[in-house]
Amino acid sequence: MLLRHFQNKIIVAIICVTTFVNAQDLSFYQDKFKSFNEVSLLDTEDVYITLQKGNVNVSVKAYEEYLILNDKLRNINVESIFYSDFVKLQSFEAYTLNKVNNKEKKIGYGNVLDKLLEQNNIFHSDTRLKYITYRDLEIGSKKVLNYTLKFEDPYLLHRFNFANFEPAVKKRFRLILDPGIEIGYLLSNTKNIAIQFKNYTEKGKNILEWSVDDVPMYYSEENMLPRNFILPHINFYIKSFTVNGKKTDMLNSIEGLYKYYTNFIKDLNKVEDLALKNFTLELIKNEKTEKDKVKKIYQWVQDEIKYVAFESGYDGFIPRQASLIFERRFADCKDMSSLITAMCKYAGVNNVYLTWIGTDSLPYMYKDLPSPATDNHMIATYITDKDTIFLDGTDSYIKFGLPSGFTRGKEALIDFNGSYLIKEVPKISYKDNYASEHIKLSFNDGLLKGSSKVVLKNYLRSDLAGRIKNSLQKEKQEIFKELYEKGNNTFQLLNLKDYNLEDKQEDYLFEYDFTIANHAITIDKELYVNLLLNDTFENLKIEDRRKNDYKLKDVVTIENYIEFEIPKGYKLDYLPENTNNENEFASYNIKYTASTSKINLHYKIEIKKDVVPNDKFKIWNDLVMDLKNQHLESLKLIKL
Amino acid sequence: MKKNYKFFASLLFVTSFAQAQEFKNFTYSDKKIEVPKEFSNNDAVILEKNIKVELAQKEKYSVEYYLFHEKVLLNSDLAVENYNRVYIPFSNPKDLIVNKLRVITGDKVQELKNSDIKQEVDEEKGYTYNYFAVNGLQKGSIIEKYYMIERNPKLDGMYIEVQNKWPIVNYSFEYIHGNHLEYAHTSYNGLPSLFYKDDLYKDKKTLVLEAHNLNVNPDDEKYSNQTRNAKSFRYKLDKNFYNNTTNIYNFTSLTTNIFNLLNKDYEKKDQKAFDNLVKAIAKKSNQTDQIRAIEDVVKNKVSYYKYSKNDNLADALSLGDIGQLNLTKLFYQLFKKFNIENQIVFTSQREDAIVDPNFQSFDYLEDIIFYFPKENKYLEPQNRMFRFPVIDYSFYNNYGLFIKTKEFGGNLMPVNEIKKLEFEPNFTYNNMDITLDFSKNAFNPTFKSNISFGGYQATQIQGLVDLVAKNSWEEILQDFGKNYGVKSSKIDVETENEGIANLGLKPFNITITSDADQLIQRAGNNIIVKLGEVIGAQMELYQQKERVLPIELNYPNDYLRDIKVILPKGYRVKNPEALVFNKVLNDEKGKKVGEFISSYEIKDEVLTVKNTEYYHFDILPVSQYNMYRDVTNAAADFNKVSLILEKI
Repeated sequence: MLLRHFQNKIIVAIICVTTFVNAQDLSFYQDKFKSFNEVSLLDTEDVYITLQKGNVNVSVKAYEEYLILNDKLRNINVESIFYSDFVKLQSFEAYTLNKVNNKEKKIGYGNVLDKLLEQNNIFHSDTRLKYITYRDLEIGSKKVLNYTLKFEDPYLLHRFNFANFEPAVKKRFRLILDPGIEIGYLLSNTKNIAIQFKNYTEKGKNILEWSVDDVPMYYSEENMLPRNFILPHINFYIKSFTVNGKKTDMLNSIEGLYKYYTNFIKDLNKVEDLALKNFTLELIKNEKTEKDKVKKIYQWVQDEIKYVAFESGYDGFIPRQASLIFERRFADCKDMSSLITAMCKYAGVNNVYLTWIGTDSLPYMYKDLPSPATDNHMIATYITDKDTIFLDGTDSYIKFGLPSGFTRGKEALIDFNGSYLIKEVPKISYKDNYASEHIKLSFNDGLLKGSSKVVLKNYLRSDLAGRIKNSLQKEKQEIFKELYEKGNNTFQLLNLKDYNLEDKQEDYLFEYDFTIANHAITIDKELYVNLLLNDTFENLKIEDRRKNDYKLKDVVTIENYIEFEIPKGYKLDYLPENTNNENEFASYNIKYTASTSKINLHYKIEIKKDVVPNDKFKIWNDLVMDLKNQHLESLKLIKL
Repeated sequence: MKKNYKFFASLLFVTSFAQAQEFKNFTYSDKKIEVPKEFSNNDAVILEKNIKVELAQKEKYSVEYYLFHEKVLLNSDLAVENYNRVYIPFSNPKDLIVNKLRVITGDKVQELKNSDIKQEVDEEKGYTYNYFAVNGLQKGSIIEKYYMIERNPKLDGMYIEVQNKWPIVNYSFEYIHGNHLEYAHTSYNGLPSLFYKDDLYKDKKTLVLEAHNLNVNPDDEKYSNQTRNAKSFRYKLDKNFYNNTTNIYNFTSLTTNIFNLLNKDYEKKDQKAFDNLVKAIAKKSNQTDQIRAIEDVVKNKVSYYKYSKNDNLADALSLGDIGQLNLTKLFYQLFKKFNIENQIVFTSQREDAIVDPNFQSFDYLEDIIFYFPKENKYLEPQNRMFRFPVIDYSFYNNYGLFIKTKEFGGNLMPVNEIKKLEFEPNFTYNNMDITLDFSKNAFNPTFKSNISFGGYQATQIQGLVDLVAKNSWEEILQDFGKNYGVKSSKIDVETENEGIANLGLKPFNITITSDADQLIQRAGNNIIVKLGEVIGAQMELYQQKERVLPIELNYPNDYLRDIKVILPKGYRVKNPEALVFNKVLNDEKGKKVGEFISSYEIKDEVLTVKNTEYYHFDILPVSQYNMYRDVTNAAADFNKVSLILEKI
């Protein structure tokens, strides 16, 4: 995935008189933000967009001011500034303000450390951090940071957050525009925050100002949507500028964005690479249809090209030549897209196209935000009269025909024969993201013994197959054991066999035998067995104090078929009732049938939506609690 | 600690001898190597690993030329992912002499191009590194790399862990030096001994090790210590025949150097900062309180940072981060100021390095802690989470170099001693007092558990309240309640003695209250009670797999559990004997070192269950593993006990 510079960073601005904090304010904030080490009193960012010699210049002045609340000064004596080749750090100033004899004393900063930003998925990038250490911080100290950044490319800007997951008081964001500059902007997630907007002119500049005087607290919790779906923020972009009556369009529309992007691909794969061509023709020689050829090429890239991302300057935007990738055998998303489209061309398939797309961490639509901030990823798209198939080379485990999980429901901006096309990537129905398990169970010498057959489809397939392929040989058994543990932790998984791990088009199948001790209970002539062996969904109760919407991992349908063999010499004495329940988010169905020799349980769970909004927690929890209670029901058998 | 006393080490000069790089023409290996059958299931196999070091003279200085060569067969996609990014660190860009890498896939050979190599300076850690992604790597490829760097000689003790996460077919090590020197060496855990070969290079001696078919060191065994059990070796410069010195790198010189450094007066600015800090420390009447008061002030003011650039005390106190030596000196001087008798202990955490009392080497003296003879307890300066007498448990069950001060004829002198850091008996415990009350409702009992966490059971959580935001603390407590209580939709958790101030002095107590309908299953007229679940989930060792490594506990542990069940009226317990357990763990000499015992009593509609479980040992050999497993699993089995309450 591309990682656009700065997108998650709140950066801030200058020309502010420092706020005055008296002792009363200090105790007020200490009380209000109990157990926090500091509060951001003021966080401002002024973006200057100017016209010089017919060029657009963008620079930012940021100002940040913090008040220290706690004397356990852990990890707060360092502030950092992000910068890169695109966003140059021009200057910075940092100091501590301490009250000495009722006067504020300014104390300069100490050590400065410059460091490459380390990111899990990115091998090389030019994003750097400057860490600045403050001197002599104590309770009531203020920490001030101001700095200036220059944007080298006026198309690649960043966003400003009006709140973060930390205590804050005031935020202000201003766009300060030269006459002739036309901008667009998009405010996101502003429902629960009061933002004042002003538009005024000062010294001949058009100023747009957004400010918040009492920043509400946002909480970071597990299982929540990505931050860009939660935190209030603004994205801005330059639509056009006019010099001497001549208007130049920039990101005036999606067309403008597409035009900007075509600069990055105009020289791509123009020179034929005979080695790659011959290799491709050899690879597809047995494929009859066009679709089979595309499939073969896509799957070869999935299997043979390893993901390694280089993101330095425009390297983060310009796909590399297919011939280089073919030699290297490693690539990032746009390189893989370059290779897929080039190989398809060599195979005589010309309708596979480069495609820009935002992953599920970005909440934007191109029509609302026609700027590079809307996407962060590249794939290829195969378009025929009947079909549109999205090909994401970075997902090595997904089957041909299914889009990568993190692009589902997103808009794809397709480079379509010299113009652009927008298509929505399909979502999967919970019915199709499917798993089933058939279990045969018997009771013998105090142990429950069973054999199981599992089928996984679609994303459930690719998630587990990916995990298995990414594990050491010796870890595989443990992974299955952890996922399929039944009854209690005496569960032993034996004789594991799996099928179709390598064949992505097929369902992932596996079989295993197992034993569980101490689950069935025998006393005198009675035998109690609880056939609901898994409690996966029991643990999905949402806590009352939770603040954010709850994001489930995925929509799914799971069916269990359990066949319990009545032990010789026993007869059934009590069978739990059949039951079911359903709401807009989930459903379950539990159905028992009994014969003289067997008891069958069909147990089905559906998770129909993957987000439970905060105001629907009760509906969700009622179902979970109901299901929990069903798990308390055991069969009772009696020895004859 | 290494960095700082390395400086002293370099004062001991190695006399000159002819300079050469015996392996400067080293190149790729075309040796055909068969992979033994037993390794073929591994994701990767190291076909060859060769390390060569030469001690040489460059201008006035001694240097080491270090060559690393490795050839690896990649059997899986995961192995490819592991090897397709390479980092090579060195101290100075000009120190990297050779850097070669090739990928062999079938007949195709792809070599690393210089243009693919990126270089970055790590300002923080003070070194340069080259990094690059490897071209053309696939499943089935062989990746072969070698690089040579020039570096400062490591004469005072080097430790090399040979056994690795992948098996190794051929391993070799050579240390080449002048004839006038001799190195001491030792091997561990069955690795062959190093030996001298005098005819390998002209006029030089070579210390050599060769090993073949080295299996992996298991990394997935619970309660084991890979470091202690790895096939590995140590070496150091021992003799210089040129000037007739022997035992060159010994702890006496280190001790003297450290002692002088710690006792050296502060510069004026630092002394002022020190005096200001002293003013902030409250005077206490007893020594334990005084040590804690000092520790509180220091740890709230500065945090230890390995790469701290603040080389003087005034800067460290102003900027909030401090390096090891500076921090040690600060504590040392404060204890001196407050007349608190102490000893400095050089050691390592035992998963990082095992201190070998029979081989003095500087490599394992990574950490510095303080020992107080009066209390027979320790203080860890670097960890802000801990307070005297709590230190990281990994320091125990390892040896340390203790430095105390003795008076000789009016002069203070350091004296050292190598001793084991022994666990304090009965320090760590977990006592539970549980009531399950059916008197009001036969199908929805109430649950109450008072748990007292002592020692290391508490250190994980007790101090967290001071470090996290209020809502996170509440979340942590809820999770804690879930782990130690029963499944319930509503759990109340109350705490006592929370906070760093109580750490190591008072146990951390919690009371969990909830309903317990989730413990109950109906079965006709009877009630099944999953009583075992009231003690919380227990560690288990159910998986039957042959154990390789000895059992090494994090720390000895005691558990006492009293469970009171107030039975519903009109019911009796049908199977109370399910609550009876008796498993014993002996050491290899037959001495009892652990047990799990459970018994019960029924009186006046009250069932009382008593559990005793303990583990009182540091290490047990593999021969005791089955007994250990049986005791551990007995507790896990107890956790699954269900009682049947039968309607009378």
